[in-house]
Amino acid sequence: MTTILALDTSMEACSAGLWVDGRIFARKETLQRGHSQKILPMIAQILGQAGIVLSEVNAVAFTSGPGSFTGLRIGFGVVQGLAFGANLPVIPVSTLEVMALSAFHKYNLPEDALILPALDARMNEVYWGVYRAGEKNTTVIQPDRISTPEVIPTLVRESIAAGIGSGWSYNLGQGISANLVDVSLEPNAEDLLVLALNRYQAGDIVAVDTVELSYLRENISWKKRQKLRPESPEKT
Amino acid sequence: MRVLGIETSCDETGVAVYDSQAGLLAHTLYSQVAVHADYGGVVPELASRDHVRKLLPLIRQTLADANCTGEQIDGIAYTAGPGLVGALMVGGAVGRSLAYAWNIPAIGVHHMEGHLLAPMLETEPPDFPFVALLVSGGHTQLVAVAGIGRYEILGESLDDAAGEAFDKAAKMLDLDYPGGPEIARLAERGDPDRFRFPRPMTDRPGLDFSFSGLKTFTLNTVAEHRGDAVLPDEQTVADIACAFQEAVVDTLVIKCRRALDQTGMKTLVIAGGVSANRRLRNKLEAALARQGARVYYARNEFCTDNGAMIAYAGCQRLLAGQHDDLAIRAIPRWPMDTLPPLGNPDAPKQ
Ligand SMILES: Nc1ncnc2c1ncn2[C@@H]1O[C@H](COP(=O)(O)OP(=O)(O)OP(=O)(O)O)[C@@H](O)[C@H]1O
Ligand SMILES: [Mg+2]
Repeated sequence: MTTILALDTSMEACSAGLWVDGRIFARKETLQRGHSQKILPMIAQILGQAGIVLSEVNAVAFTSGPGSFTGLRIGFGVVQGLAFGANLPVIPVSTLEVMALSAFHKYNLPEDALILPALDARMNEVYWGVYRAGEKNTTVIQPDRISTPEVIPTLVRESIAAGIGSGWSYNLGQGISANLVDVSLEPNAEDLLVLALNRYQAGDIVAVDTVELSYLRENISWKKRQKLRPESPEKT
Repeated sequence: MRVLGIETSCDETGVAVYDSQAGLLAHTLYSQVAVHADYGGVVPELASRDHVRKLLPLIRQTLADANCTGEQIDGIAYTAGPGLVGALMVGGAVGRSLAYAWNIPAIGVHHMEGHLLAPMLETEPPDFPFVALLVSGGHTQLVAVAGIGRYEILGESLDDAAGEAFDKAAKMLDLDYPGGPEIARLAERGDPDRFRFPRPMTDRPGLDFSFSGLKTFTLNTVAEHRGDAVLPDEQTVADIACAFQEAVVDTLVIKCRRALDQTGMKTLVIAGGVSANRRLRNKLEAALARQGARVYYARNEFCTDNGAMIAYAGCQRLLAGQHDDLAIRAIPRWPMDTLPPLGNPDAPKQ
């Protein structure tokens, strides 16, 4: 019996999914904030519904970036607690890769279609990559990276079947030919489960201690310490 | 009851195991000071990223140091606030989900309650009721403490916290972050009679503080004595550090005595990073002895942020039957006087 737990809190969607030998149990909500309050109850619900206890799970999959920094840390923090507590291996998956598979299913794209998921990284930058999607798997064509939107057309010469994610609101379509664009598509735990199952079967699992989040953005003009006390006026 | 405590509210990752019978079994601390040193203050995003890397290894190490396995832990306490929200979230996510995996209760602890109770880890702990002076990087508060969760704020800083004032003054003198220990070190070589800095808000009644004027005074004194150089000469820098520390310490001492007079209490507890200050401890001890009162504080390493105080505070609340649901709590702003009192698990919780 193979049982995989998956969770995603990397963007506005907050979702959890459980694969139990072909049966899928899933929860999803779209939230501006409050992922931290919802994610563990969601996990408890689907485990309860499936009649599974955490120690029976074989591996925990999660989106390890890119995405909202805090969102990624909530997801990974929960994974660290669960994996350490129940002694489980983990399967980190790129947020962009999950989105590529979601687009493949949502739009019934042909096998071998090229998909360019892109997320708004703010400050006139986007996180993006290029994937070739299939029914159950994806292939990395260009690895995830961060760049200005203008750079992307100079690096992507192929014709793109689907441009997806908030990064496409930068009008990437002007420089890249994409058959369809969906700026609102977000990753979800069900597609994450499909990818995770494949990895699990290929033995592609890791110990939780070896995982690093892929923020992609390493250098920004870091904001100084914020005020801790409510009553005081803003500091200069 | 044996509790794993997790602290990640700011720039230290702290983990501890506290046992209500056997006392503190182990505690570890990883300080990010070096990470933030170049910025002259804590950078929230860098702090969060570092907690993610350090927390799990620290938990493993602390459990090993305590010679105990997960099955022997009865509850998990993590700092739920106040603090940097992203940093809090790391300890909360790991702590809450680990408790879920171990099928034990979890509780989100108020960071300042942790500081306030830290002296309880010493061999001669204070008895309730007492007045507490919380002096740290983010807080300067006088609190009447009737018992755990029974807090009345008597006064607080209207602007900068005392620790923050130390840090800012240190920056003006080109000292390293955090500035408190640096100023204290330099002050020992300073001439206490050379400069006299104001004792803000001591000439009028009340228990509030204000340290921002002192900051301006420091800046002006530096400017007056540096000539064409970036800084005044070494001795003058030490003299300024000394005058600054005397002003902060005297101000704190005056208000503490006033708070004891006002409440009629004979016990003072000082907690938070600045309570490690030797000059403050000495002056308080001398001043309070004269009015027949006594001051208590934690050992130095438990004055600043640590996991032990969170494990202890959480253990008291868990023992009283309080615990959280499955939500991860991260409350960046959280007034301490809204906490539920101990011994009444049905009281509404924030
Ligand atoms: N010996 C000392 N003398 C004066 N100040 C000190 C001393 N040691 C530490 N400090 C100050 O204590 C502060 C750190 O204390 P602490 O870790 O309790 O604060 P924090 O956690 O940043 O803030 P808070 O607890 O309010 O959220 C710093 O501002 C530091 O300069
Ligand atoms: Mg503190």
